[in-house]
Amino acid sequence: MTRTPKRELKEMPLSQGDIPRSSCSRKLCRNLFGPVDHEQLQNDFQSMMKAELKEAQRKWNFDFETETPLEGDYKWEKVSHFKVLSPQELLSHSKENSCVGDKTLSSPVLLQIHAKTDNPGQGSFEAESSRHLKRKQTSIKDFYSSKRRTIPYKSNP
Amino acid sequence: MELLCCERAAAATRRAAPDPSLVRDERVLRNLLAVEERYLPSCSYFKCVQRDIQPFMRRMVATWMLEVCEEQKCEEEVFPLAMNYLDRFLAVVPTPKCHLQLLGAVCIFLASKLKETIPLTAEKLCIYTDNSVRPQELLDWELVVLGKLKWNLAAITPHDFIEHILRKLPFPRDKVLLIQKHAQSFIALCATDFNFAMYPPSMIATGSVGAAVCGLQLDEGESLLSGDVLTELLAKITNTEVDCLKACQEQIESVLVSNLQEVPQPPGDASKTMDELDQSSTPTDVRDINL
Repeated sequence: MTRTPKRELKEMPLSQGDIPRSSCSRKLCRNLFGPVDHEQLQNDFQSMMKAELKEAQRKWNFDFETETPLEGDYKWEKVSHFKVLSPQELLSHSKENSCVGDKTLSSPVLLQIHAKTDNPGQGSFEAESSRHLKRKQTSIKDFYSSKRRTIPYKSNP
Repeated sequence: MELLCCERAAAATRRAAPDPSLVRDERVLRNLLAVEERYLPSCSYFKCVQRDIQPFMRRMVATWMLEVCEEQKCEEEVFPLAMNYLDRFLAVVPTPKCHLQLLGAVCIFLASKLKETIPLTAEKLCIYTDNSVRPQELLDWELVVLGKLKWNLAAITPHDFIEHILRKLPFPRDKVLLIQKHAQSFIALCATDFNFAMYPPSMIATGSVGAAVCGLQLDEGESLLSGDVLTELLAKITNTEVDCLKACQEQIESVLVSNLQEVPQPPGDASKTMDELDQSSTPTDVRDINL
């Protein structure tokens, strides 16, 4: 008997969702600019995602498809000992920084990034330290100044 | 254990009241003014980026987007925010016109997700394109648009300034609510018109409030604020040049007039139509006229 209210609870968000949204009126369902070429759409999508990936590869000198480091400003290091960590150990690691857990676990190959300018003595295998390094590189100030720089050549891609 | 809340949010979406500690803090307004230009499209793209897309096509897709947002009772900011995404994308990516409606749908999809408690679904948006776009394509292009916008979605829109401006005007509460409704309609109107795409949101907000006050003729009669005093006060609030603001307000009024003329309606002068606009006192009338 106790199951019924539970199920109702589960369904509530859905049923609530139906209330404020009205159905689509006929006159508004229209195709504005003629038939859509689905093949071209797919091709454009593929090529744009590829370009995006290439840009990221260039920026981080890292091949994200094969997960291999490339030559460039950043020195990538494999973090291997995480594979043998038990979930409990990982949990205790991520307590200090709650983002660490999912981030590192989601990648099959765990890698750590150091900027060349960084002190080589910091090259530990701790995920936390990698987070700190990343933060250093993407402080709000860096972000904004790089945003400003990109604006002028945004206009001619 | 058997606690069950049967309360239904009877059709109305629950919203938080404006937070006085945000609205009354000068720093919030100052910060909004300081960062708003970061979210403007990088260029006037019909001249330098787009070859296939013409200004009238932007207007077509914008009108359709506005109608979809209205029918789905989206939050007021969703439409202007979606138009901001659309303009910023078109300023960087040359787009064939047959992809424009898909882009419009993606922009509503993103803006709705950012601003609404119950966002629009991809399926529903595809139905609105008469199924010319597939849900999977919408999801694919969502990624493309996000990438091109650099995941920078929390753009500042004119709506962000409205509370800050209204707070500083000496009108009674009921009038303020009316001004707000009308100003929101003007903001939506501006978003459909490309001429306003490069204007800072604060200027559109100030111009819209000015146009709303004038339209409601609150700047006449016993009011302390005559036209010029009002314009100067508004200009001071958002640090806009008085002349720019005047020009912007006039532009808004003329767009309203030209939109009214496009729709079969008994011909009348601008002030008359503004009167009609008052009487219905719903926020949607300007936009209904726009259809």
